[in-house]
Amino acid sequence: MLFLKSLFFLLVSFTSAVMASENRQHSSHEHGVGQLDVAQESSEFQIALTSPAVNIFGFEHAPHDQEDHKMVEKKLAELEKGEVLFVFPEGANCRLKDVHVATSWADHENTKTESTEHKQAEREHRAEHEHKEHDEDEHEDHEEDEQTHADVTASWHFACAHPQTVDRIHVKLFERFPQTEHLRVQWTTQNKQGAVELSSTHSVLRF
Amino acid sequence: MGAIITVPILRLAWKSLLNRWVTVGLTLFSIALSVMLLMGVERLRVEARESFANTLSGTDLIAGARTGGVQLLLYSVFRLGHATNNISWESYLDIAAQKSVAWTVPISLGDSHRGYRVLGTTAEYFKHYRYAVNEHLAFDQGQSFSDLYDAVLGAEVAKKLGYELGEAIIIAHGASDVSFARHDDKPFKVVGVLKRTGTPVDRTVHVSLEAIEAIHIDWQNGAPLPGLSTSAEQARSKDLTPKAITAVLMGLKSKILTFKMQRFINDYKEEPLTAILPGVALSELWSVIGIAENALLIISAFVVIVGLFGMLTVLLASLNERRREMAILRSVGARPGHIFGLIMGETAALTLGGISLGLGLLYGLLFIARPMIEAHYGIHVPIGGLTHYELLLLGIVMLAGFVVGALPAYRAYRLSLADGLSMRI
Amino acid sequence: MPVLVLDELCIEQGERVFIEGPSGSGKSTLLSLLSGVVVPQQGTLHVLGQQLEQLNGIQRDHFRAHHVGYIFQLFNLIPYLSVMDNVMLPCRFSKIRHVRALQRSSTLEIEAQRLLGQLDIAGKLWHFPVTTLSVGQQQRVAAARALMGAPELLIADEPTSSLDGNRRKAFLRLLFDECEQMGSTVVFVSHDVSLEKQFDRTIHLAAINRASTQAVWERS
Repeated sequence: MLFLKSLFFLLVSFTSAVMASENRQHSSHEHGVGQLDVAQESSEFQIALTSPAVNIFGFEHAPHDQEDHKMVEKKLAELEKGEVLFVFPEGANCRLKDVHVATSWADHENTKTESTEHKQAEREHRAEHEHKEHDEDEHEDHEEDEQTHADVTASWHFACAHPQTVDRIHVKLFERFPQTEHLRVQWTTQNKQGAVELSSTHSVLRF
Repeated sequence: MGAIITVPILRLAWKSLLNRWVTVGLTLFSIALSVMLLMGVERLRVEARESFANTLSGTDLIAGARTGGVQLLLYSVFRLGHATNNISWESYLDIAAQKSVAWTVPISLGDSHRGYRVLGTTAEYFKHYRYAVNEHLAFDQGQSFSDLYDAVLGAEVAKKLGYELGEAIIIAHGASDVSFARHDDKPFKVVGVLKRTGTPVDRTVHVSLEAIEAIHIDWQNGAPLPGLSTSAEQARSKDLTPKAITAVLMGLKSKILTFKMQRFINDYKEEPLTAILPGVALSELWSVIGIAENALLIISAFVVIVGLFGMLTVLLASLNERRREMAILRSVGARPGHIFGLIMGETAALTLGGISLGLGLLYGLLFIARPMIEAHYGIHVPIGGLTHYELLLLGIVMLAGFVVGALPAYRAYRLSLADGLSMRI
Repeated sequence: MPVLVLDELCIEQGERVFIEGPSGSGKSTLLSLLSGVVVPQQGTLHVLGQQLEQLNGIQRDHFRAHHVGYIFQLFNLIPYLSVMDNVMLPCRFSKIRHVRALQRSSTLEIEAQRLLGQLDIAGKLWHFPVTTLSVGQQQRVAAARALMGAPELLIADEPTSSLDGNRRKAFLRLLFDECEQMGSTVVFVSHDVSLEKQFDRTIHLAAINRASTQAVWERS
């Protein structure tokens, strides 16, 4: 038993050392890797993606020509199709209620909002927030705007008729955005939490 | 013909094994030990995960000083390792005041009582701390602390140290109980004993945050300041608002807000903080420990292979001396297939016997070790039946045994074809 | 290169034949042929009305199980079986012999005990491990096993070579008595010519084996 205890401590100290070095996944900007947060509260599922822009558009610079803009438009439209990107179990009867997509260049918003008032408020808030962040960014690397990392944030809000049957979500982001290689997923449901790394070969999130 | 033939062959295999009981016994035992090791490692893995997963539930976030997520989880929930830094009380109040926060339980660690950790907290702890599947803490005797110097014991602390309600206990400074670092001027009174939970709570002494503050009034850098002595009664009149805490467990109004709140804490400007989802940190812990676990599992799988190779050696070595036996069997009408069946039958009996004996040993060991594990770690190890995965592992061992056994069986078959009735001695 | 070349060899049913010849004269090849372990490369081989060279390996194994009792020179017994289990072994591999044994006695055990008794194995030895028996006892147990279930053909490959003169005679007498009752044909191989008087006929294998004369001729 003593042996086991020491072994365990060895593992734990090793682990802590490894973990400490890459703890703050949120602020990391690693090409090919995105962060996905999935939260459930009763019938609602909130999924949020934070990803380097390159994973979505194939480039990180702010779009400057017609082609860039076209690409951005196209990809943003794909991001908004939450029901295509996240496949819930059929019996759960889940509907996409609301999408919000933003890039660090600008705020793009979908129009499928249910309560426009609420949405409007959020849009303002969001814009303000975005603006602030932008200011800070510009202060930091004013000259090298071209090299600045850009991120995409998106959140999808689903409502399910039978949330208790949702034991998995098939994440199809890898098919739509092939430059996304890995997604670090944190999830929290009614009584469980977990983390998992998804990839194109392991693209089913199981709770 | 089938029945009349296979049954005697299996009977022959059995009697042949009995005849060589020393070698057979040793082979059987080595297979059994290897199977026990394999199953033991698997059990340990699953049980350890289970008991870790059952330690905390219903807590959405844990916040502490900036540190690794796993580390924060380990010291705040499992009492493993130490916090390197604290959260200031002001930051705590700020976090607790956030709109999305439903409840908070501040905890303060660092002191001990006869080898058990002392946890400073508030009465909210007994209300919100949950383990297993949403089990609340329950009092076996007494109630939560009401006076400054009240203490609530975990089930095992009370049982092991034989404490009753009303008894006075002295808390030591730090993790080691040495005489010069005791808060012996401020004894605590046991006012409650919790029911057993099978978690580290059983091995914890709970006191109020103010009490932690009170016993450290005259202390600095881990030692009492010379010349100063504030008595227990004097301390009551002082400001006992904590200056810092080790970590805070919190529940949110909606799980949807979890990640927003986590970001808020991680980006907190006034002080570097870390917030984790305990389940996420646990998954991260397993993903790393999983490597070591797999290594252990692979090693034990190799031990099983070694055990099976031992069987192969024994069977192959015996074949030459058994060629006479094979010729006799052929002379009474046994076909080469029977000879194959004879050796395979022996293999099957050895493998099955080894597996059964190994399982027997494992359960015997679990039965003996269970009270010890429970006493040392507060972990309850249930002795359940075999899981699907364990059955699968055993099936693979069985199959591997058959594959290994097919080799000498085939060789015996070839020999009996070549030798016919000629006696090679 | 054939080791046994015979123009013709005929053994009548119920006959007791003594086959004599020096080593290398093809004795064990003849026995392997008769028991169906090997088949002739050329010509035909009729045993008990069966044309053995036309049967496949498994059929010949069945043939042996049903119709042949075989006694080796030495170490005839399965070491991990008792005397009784050794004797009953042929009935485990042949239904025909099982049935025939039951025609003689009500159970296999009784038939085995009857044969052991006939061959002068004392009752107290029946459940002993075979390794505790003397060589002579072992050979008589082997004879009992070969006779179990009354096979039509009894083949003995120098079974008496490890016995002394008196015991040899006694062994043969017991064996013949039992074979006579069952009407079994006995093919007995030995290079001990002192035994040949007790047989109906002696075959000097070296004299009729053209392969061995060739070999002898080549060697000289």
